[in-house]
Amino acid sequence: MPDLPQALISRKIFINTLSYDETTNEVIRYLLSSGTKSADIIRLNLGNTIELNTYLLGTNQEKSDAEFQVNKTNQSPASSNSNTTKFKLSELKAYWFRKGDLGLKALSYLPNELPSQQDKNISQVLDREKKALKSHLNNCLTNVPKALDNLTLAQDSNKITQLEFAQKVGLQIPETLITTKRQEALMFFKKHQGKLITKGINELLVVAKGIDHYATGTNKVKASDIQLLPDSFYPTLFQKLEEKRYEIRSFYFFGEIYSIAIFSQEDAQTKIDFRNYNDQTPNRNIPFILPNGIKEKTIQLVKQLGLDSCSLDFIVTPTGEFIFLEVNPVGQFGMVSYPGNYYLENKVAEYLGK
Amino acid sequence: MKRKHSFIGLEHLSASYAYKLPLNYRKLEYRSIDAKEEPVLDTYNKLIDGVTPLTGSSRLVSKMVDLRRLRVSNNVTEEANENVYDQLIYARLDENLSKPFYLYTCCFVTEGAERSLLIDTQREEFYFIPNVLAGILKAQQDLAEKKKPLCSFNDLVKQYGEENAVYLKQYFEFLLENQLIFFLEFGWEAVAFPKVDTTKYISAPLIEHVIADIDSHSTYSIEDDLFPQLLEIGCQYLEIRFFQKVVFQKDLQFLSRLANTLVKSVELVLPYNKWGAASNIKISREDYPWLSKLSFYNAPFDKLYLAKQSSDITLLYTTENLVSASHCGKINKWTFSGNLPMITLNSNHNSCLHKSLGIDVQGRIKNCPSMANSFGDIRADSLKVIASKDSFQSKWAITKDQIDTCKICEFRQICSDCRAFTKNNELKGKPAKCGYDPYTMKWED
Repeated sequence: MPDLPQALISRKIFINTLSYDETTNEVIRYLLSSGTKSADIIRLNLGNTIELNTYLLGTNQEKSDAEFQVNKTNQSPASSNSNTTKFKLSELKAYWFRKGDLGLKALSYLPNELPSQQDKNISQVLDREKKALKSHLNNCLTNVPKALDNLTLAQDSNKITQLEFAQKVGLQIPETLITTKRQEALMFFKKHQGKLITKGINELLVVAKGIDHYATGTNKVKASDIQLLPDSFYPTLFQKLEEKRYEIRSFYFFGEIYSIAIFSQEDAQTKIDFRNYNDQTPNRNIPFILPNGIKEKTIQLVKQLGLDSCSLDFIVTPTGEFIFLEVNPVGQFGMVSYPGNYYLENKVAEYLGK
Repeated sequence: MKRKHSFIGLEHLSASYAYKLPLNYRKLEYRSIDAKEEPVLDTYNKLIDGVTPLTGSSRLVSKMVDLRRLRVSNNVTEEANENVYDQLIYARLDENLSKPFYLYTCCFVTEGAERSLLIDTQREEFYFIPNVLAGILKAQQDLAEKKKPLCSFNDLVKQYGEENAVYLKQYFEFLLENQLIFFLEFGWEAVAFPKVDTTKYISAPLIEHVIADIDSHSTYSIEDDLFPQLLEIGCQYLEIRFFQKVVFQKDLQFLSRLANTLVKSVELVLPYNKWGAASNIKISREDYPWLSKLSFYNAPFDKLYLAKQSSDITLLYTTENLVSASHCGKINKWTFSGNLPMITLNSNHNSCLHKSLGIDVQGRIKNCPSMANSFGDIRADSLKVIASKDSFQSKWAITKDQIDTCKICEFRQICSDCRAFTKNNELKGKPAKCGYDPYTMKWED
């Protein structure tokens, strides 16, 4: 019997995301309205697990395949029924790593016993085994016909590496110092006339206190902060505080860049960080076109980072300089799409669904 | 190190540990889990397999109620606004006299017969401006599009003469006070801010809005005949209008079946009865997660209770007796929507009928229940097949610039139009229930 054409077998779309990501919701609405069946969309939300049922590396490549099952727990408070969706790697025509994690079930197959010191060794090795497996599965997903980003690229994304790459392609970056010494921090502070910020090297720390949450952010550095530093400390990032004329948020998608300018300087509440949204009189967000030189360098940068899509942040200084801040592989793009009338969710759906 | 520390979130750590941490760990900032403080009503949608918020449409679904008579209650905006304006930072004209000015491209100018409308889509505000100022702003936009040198305030004074400088100054003060323009600083900025592309209106569903009418003689079932078809057409906003008595809970239970659709919000129009009094209404959000608005007609009073937060339901009471679909199509300033999707829609399609579908009391499939032309019967025909037909979509192409009077009206980009009741019953006639005359700039009943 002849094999079925590949297009008939491979029609499923696998999306890694969060359950409350409205961007994913909207992309799925576009997919559903353009003929994709709900059953052919497999959504893995953060918190749900995916089980690897089997993975066969056959004697010839054609026969190799993996079977997964996603265990969904309904988020609705009214019902707590769960269901299971099985799919094969060979059935996928598209994979989108939007956000979240590839929550591969592994250690939780084992009964939850208190590990002794010796058992800790077992679980550490098991954990590394899982990592190797996960990394390989990630590679497999990257080879799906229509792959849009992947877990490894998103999780390995390193903000200081980005800054270095950006500088190499010729983009301006804010002068940045990572130090463990008070004396060095002090000299850097003086060099920039006390105009410094500090933020995480790559990550945010979020501390939950009851129902409240506290998180690290971007902070202005005060003279008293430097005074209170011990002589040596955990590696800390300091960066020149760049004055803003406005901010640029761009969405990169397969070689195209869609941007908006955010006029956060017209409002004291959003001057340091536009995410302190003012709902009553929102910042002016209007379409923006990166100057050609900046656009070319940006495309070069994103290609070096290996990303298919990402969000990029820039500052335009009062003297008209473009300063690159960071790349976010899983950044929000609704805030670019809506004010720019760019319909980006539709573009993503067209790519995945075709 | 013996000193103590008072760093929020790090209380359990010793000072000697805390001080060695990166500097920003000492400055933890309060973050609510959601960016908004108000409770947000989210519902799990199993078709999307995601949590979707209750969202209203960017335009009105139907226009049954004469909103002019309503007193608005629970309106919190006035008080809040004062604080907000305090912190805005304004550009000054005297420091920018010779720099090119630029209208924020989220603002749109519509020239009318006698005056123009400046629409701020981001803050959803409208301003009446004289046609002279509209001309100045439009001319500047044309220059930008043609990549020609842009004008400054001083250039305008030269152009219009010193004797008009005082009026130009007033115009600019108004524009700056409302943050409608900014000044360009660098040559390259003249081509960096393209206008918003409104030449294409895109949305996921085949049909965005469905209006379904039901009265005591109706023999079709909303639950059995309409709901199973909503997913196929992608319907996101549903309005059900009851021209018959409604018993709360018993008659509304079927709404739970919307769980198998992509509907984002439901509005109901229904006759007033005792349970509908604002003080009596107890609606469990778990049972009716998509319900966004209840409009009671034939009520003993006129009032509108706006939803303060998304977990509230907007309650509207009108003394009008809205006994049939013939009451729809009322156009007045309350039916305007000044957002970007609406302006994009009006530039390309008919904002009343595009991606809308109506089921009349007899179950007939129409562009809108108030219209005469029927395309089929909900019990026999597929909504998807009918809505995909060219004949069903033919009126979607009637834009405002084809409609008598509307084409010179300053409200044409934000108006929701009505194609069911038109002047002299003409296909491209002005909406019959619009009392606005763009020549006299007056509203009449």
